[in-house]
Amino acid sequence: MLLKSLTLNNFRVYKGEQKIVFSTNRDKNVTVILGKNTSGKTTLIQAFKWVLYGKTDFVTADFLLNLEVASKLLPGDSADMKVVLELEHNDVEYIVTRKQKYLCISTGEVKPEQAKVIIQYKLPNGQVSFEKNYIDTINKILPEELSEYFFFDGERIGNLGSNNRRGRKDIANAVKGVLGLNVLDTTITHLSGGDKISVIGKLKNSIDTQGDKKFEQKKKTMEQLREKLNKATKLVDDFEKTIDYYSMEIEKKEKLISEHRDTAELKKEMDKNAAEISINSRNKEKKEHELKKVFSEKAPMFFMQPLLYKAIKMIEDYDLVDEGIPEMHSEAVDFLIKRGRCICGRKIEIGNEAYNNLMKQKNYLPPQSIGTMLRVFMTNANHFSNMASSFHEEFINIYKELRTFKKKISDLHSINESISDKIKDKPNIGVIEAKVRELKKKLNTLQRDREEEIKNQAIYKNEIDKLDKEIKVLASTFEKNKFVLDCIEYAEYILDILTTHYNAMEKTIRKKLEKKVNEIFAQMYHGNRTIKIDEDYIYEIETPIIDNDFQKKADESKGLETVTSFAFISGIVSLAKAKIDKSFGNETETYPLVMDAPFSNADEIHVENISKILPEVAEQVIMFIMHKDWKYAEKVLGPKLETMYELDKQSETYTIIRGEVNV
Amino acid sequence: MKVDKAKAIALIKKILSAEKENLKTKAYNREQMAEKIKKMIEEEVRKCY
Amino acid sequence: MFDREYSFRGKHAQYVKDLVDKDKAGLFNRNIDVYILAPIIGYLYGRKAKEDTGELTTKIFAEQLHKEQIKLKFIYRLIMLLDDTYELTTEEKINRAFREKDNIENMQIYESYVLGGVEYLHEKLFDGKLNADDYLHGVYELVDDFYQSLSIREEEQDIYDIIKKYG
Repeated sequence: MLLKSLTLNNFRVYKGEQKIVFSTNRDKNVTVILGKNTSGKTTLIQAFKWVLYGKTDFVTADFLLNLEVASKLLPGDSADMKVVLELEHNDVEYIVTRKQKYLCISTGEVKPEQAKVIIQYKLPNGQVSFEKNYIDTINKILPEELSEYFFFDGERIGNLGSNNRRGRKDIANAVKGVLGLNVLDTTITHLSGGDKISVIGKLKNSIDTQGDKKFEQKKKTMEQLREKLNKATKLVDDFEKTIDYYSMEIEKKEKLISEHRDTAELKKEMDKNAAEISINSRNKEKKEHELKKVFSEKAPMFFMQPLLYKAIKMIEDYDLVDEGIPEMHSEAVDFLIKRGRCICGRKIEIGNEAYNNLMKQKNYLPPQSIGTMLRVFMTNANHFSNMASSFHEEFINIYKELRTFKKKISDLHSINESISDKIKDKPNIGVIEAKVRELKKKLNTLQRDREEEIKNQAIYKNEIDKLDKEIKVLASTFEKNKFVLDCIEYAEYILDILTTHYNAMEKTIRKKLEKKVNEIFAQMYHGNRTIKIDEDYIYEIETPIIDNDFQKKADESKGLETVTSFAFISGIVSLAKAKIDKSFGNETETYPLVMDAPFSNADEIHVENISKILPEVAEQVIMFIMHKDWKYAEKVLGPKLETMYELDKQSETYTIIRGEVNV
Repeated sequence: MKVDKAKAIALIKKILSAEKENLKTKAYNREQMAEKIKKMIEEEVRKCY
Repeated sequence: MFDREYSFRGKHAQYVKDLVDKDKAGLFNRNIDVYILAPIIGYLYGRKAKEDTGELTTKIFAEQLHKEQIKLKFIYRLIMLLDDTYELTTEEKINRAFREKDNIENMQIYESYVLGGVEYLHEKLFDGKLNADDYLHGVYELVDDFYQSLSIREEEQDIYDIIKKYG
């Protein structure tokens, strides 16, 4: 089956009529649609589902009309929404149209009417005819239960590659669906004695206790045990879901942490700098204090130096210094004057020569004599001058040190500012790391709880088995119960056969899938990697020889996931193809593969390798790629490209599909 | 009591057909299907009595 | 002399506060530190000023003055030896410096240098300065400019010898 074109008319964000033509060229079999996230990629994949099967996975599955068109409707108005898919199957061209009318009622609400499907096909003579039995026709072309193996959205691809619960379920379902094991599966569910409403459960319940209290007690206990087992099973399931969720969250956050390891480092540097700034600030303050102290104490001496010089010169020139009589005080002269007679014997009278001389001498004796004072003055001058001589150097040095601290502080501030700019919009790693620790703790608890419940499950199962036997023994003592016991035996016998058969078939398919996936791996890794899938669909990748090509660990794990998911998709698709071909006798029918390409983080090597194996996987490939990843994909996919489109998001409610034909 | 293989096979055929049909039409829910199958088994076992 | 409480008044009080308050320039620890330096600066840069009328005052306590008597008297004598307001002879200057006590006129001359020095210090260290770094840089400039102008090194040697002789 080949897809030829998809036309959307007011379907969700695709307002108006918009068309995509797919490449059907054998050699250029890739159609690329560029689009950012939330631009409407998933909507396109859903459009396929809707036009073919009338179903979508949207939350607002009932309302598919473009919101801008809907908002303009007035009561009484109506709007048409439709999707048209042109395809080719077994050399017949089909046009599948599904349309839905939306009516605006009196309250202003817009309500959808029943959707209608029309399938037209072109006859060899060119005429167009209508196919009435559209459900059967579509299911012959692409069965609904298998359709999901030809349409892959990004999340599924991610789950497939990462070996998580959802991915494993996806694969398990693929196996079941492909094999048609669904019938067996539901039969087993209906039969199995797990709970009251199953066949075996009902039969067991109808066992007559004939009023025997002990017997009745046992039946009751059995019921209770079954309840407990059910609860435990549900708990385990819930725990597993939560464990999965937390594991994913932890993985996401750890990825973020490693991506922003630099940020953490830079933050550390900032903190270190801040501490240094503190230290330097304190030192700067100390220096400032020192500087002011020195200035306060010694500046006067420093500034007085030229004054000292002048003053000294003046005094020296005056040559007064020697005029005093040692050890003689003015009081001695007063005494002599009072006495009236000098030491030498002369008479002293006020006004006489002796008196005048003595009075004059008084000027040169302390306290009037200034000789001592001058000596004191000179001593001080000497002292102050000494203080001054060292002042300048001391002052300048302190000031220089001060400036050094200032500069250091300023430099550190600048560095921190630029670091801050760098990490401004980056997440706070410390917070995220704390969250991861928290989540890991929770995860541990959950895993412990889960293990606990699993143990309980086993205990209950044991008890149930034991009790079951006891009840059967008791039951067989009553004639009435013989019939019921026989029926139970048949039911259990059939159940056993079906279960064994189911497991065997499932194992076969699983092995086929494993083989197919390994084939892909072989091509990619030249035999250096193999994968093993166990019965729970948990896979293990073995790398016996470490390949030199894949040295970068981070790159490797992401690329490996990408390749793994592709390998699984390819394996599943091949199984699905085989199944369809077998069911409907198709020989070499081709199938398309529509997918969100997981080419993220530029795994150049892997983009190349994956592109090489694409033709193996499907004859027609339609891929959604983000602009930033197109750089790397373009190299390899370019030559395989016939048409390329771009989703141009105008608003949350309107996207335009822009077309471009690749030469 | 030994299980009659022929009867078992006959039952398996009947049950699987019904299940296949129901997968398509989805006419019956789980409880109803279980009831149906139970009746099939009872009928087949009764054939002896 | 220098045994009674002293008050700066009016604008000079403001200037001294500006230079001493930690909230302002905070360059001097106490009012008296300004009082010690100011007359030297006043004489060096030829600045005299009259006492200002104004309500604002800031004081120096008598005990503080008493403690710094040696320095204060020395500087007083230095100013008296060098001031040329009245064109005295050397002998008269020496007398004025060492003999006369509690002379009101002399004190007035001294104090005019004190206030002139306060004005100069305020101009150089406070005006136009915005932050702690500016203030400190102002002090640095004051010191360094002065150092540069002490150009004649040989004279320092002479003084040294003379002082040694008499000291």
